[in-house]
Amino acid sequence: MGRKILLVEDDRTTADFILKGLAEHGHVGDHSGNGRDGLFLAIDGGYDAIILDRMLPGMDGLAILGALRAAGVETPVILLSALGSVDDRVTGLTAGSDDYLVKPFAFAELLARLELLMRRRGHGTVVETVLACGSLRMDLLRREVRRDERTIDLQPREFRLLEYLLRHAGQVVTRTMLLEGVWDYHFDPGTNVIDVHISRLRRKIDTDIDVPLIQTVRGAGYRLGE
Amino acid sequence: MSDSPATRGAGARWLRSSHVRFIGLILALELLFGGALMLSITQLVRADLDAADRAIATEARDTLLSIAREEGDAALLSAVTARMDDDEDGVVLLVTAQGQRIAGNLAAWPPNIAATGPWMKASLYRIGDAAPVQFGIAAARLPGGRRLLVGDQTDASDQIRETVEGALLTALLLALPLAIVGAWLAVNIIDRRIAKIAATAAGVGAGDIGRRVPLDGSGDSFDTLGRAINAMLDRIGGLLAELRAVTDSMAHDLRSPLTRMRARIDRAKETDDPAALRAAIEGVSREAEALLAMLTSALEISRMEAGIGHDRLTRTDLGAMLVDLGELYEPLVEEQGRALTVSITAPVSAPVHRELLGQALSNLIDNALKYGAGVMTLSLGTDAGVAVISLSDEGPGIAPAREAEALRRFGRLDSARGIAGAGLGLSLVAAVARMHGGMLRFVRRGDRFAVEILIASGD
Repeated sequence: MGRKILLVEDDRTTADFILKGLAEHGHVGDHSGNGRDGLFLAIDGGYDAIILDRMLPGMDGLAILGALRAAGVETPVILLSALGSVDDRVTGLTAGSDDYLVKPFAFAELLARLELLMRRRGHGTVVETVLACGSLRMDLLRREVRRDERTIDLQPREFRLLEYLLRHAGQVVTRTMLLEGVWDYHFDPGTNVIDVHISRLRRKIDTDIDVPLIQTVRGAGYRLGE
Repeated sequence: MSDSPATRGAGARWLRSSHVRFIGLILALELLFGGALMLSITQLVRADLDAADRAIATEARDTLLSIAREEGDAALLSAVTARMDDDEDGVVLLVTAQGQRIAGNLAAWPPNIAATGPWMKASLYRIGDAAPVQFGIAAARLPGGRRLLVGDQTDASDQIRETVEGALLTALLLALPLAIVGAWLAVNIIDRRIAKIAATAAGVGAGDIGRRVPLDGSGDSFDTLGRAINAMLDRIGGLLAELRAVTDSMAHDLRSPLTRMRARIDRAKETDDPAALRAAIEGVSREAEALLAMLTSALEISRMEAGIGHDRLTRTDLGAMLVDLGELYEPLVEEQGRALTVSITAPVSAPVHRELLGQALSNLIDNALKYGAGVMTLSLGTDAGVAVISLSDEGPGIAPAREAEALRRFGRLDSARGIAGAGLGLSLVAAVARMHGGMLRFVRRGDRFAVEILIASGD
């Protein structure tokens, strides 16, 4: 299902790279090379999400974000920035962005985060007590997980990891998204820490079953689904 | 420096100069105080001289009155006549009730003088005088309506007063150039002190970073200003040296991975084999990742050392933090055939930067995974009121002689050169410890080697 996405980015190469990726995944991308036009389009255009560069000629990305939120535009915004320090990230998030991505990034990471944001908007605030995907069911009240009829015993952290995957079933989730969403870690603890956790979870859920649920998406992360 | 607008002439700029203002102020004050002093002295002298003149005239009048009272009209008449003849500087007049002259050296009673009025001054023409003369006059009414007027010349007093006033005015005018010279000297002294500071600032601005304001040790305002500026310049100099060291070592250490990357690309250009091309691209991509990680860490360290991020310290339960981190790493450690245990000997909470401390600890675990051996223990305890977070294992650790080298930015021990890494791990950990007001230390206990982060618990 194609979405309408606004990209405000002054660097032509980065913009082309993102627009091409969006088109390949069936989204419609509009591009603005400067802050003024970007703000105009963002207020006017009815976008599903906005990708906003933090450092733009003429108008700072954070200023645009402030103006947007002040104008009552609640479209989800991902800030892109070459400023990668922990404090820059916190500043960006407290300024009203929904996510913050440090350049350079893999397109898969951007896409996964975009889809997460757009879906989050669509869902509203329905409280779910049972999550399911295929033959896997998670009862959040009884804290019980079953695959078909078999009860699966999970450690608390494994339970939260699986809950995160179930809440984003069908979507690609990256390793950084898992670190942030499950562990609330906003630093880089090294490459394959998450992989080991996933492989443990996989052993408990997908063993002896023909249809594995946890899929590895090459170059991006994981996806829960058949 | 901003040029003044063309509409303002040189005169206006001259007026705005603090020298002219200072000298002008001194002059105005000198004139004001000098004038006030002169005015009050003149008034005092005048009052004094008038009192003396009044005493002379009233005394002469009272003598004549007592002669009239005690010895009769004839005696008065002769006394008046005698006074007229004796005293060349005096004036005397006796008139009838109708104003007719009986005796005296005035032709008629002056209309501006009342017989019962107080002592006063008046210019009168005596009989035979060609010009009026200033007298101090006392008058009185005699029995039968006759009136008596007695006066004495005041020219001596006037002379004194003029002399005093002249002297004062001269003194005042003489003081003006002295005040100007004084003000100019004061301005010059201030100027010379400020010029030294300005010259230093200009020199530093032009690139002579080592230049300092000369101090005289007097402790006055200029000395204090110079000291403050020197302290600021020292700090700037320190930061510049630090920056230079960082950029030098970065340039040096970025060059080798970049060179490797370029060699790979050059080799890839020569080949048509798709497998080799793919391998080359993956190699380049790995090198780029490593470079990016290196840059990120280097920037983070510099920011910490510049004091950025201090406002994000929040009181955190360190025990819970270590347990969480242990849980995150445990599967990975086990996968490599090793073990990670977490031991909390004392519950400690301290104000920490959660992300940066987390990064530091994961760097330590990462290092232990790459270079260490045996069981890893992540522990928390206190030592003399200081929180001690320690990661130990049974590996060879770092030789005491190499510790400083291991902490150096981009420093990598020879034994580590074959293993992927940017060489920023430990220097980042040390920077995080310093940011929290603590330090990093290496401890060897038996066959265990520990890296410890000491953090003030802030209680």
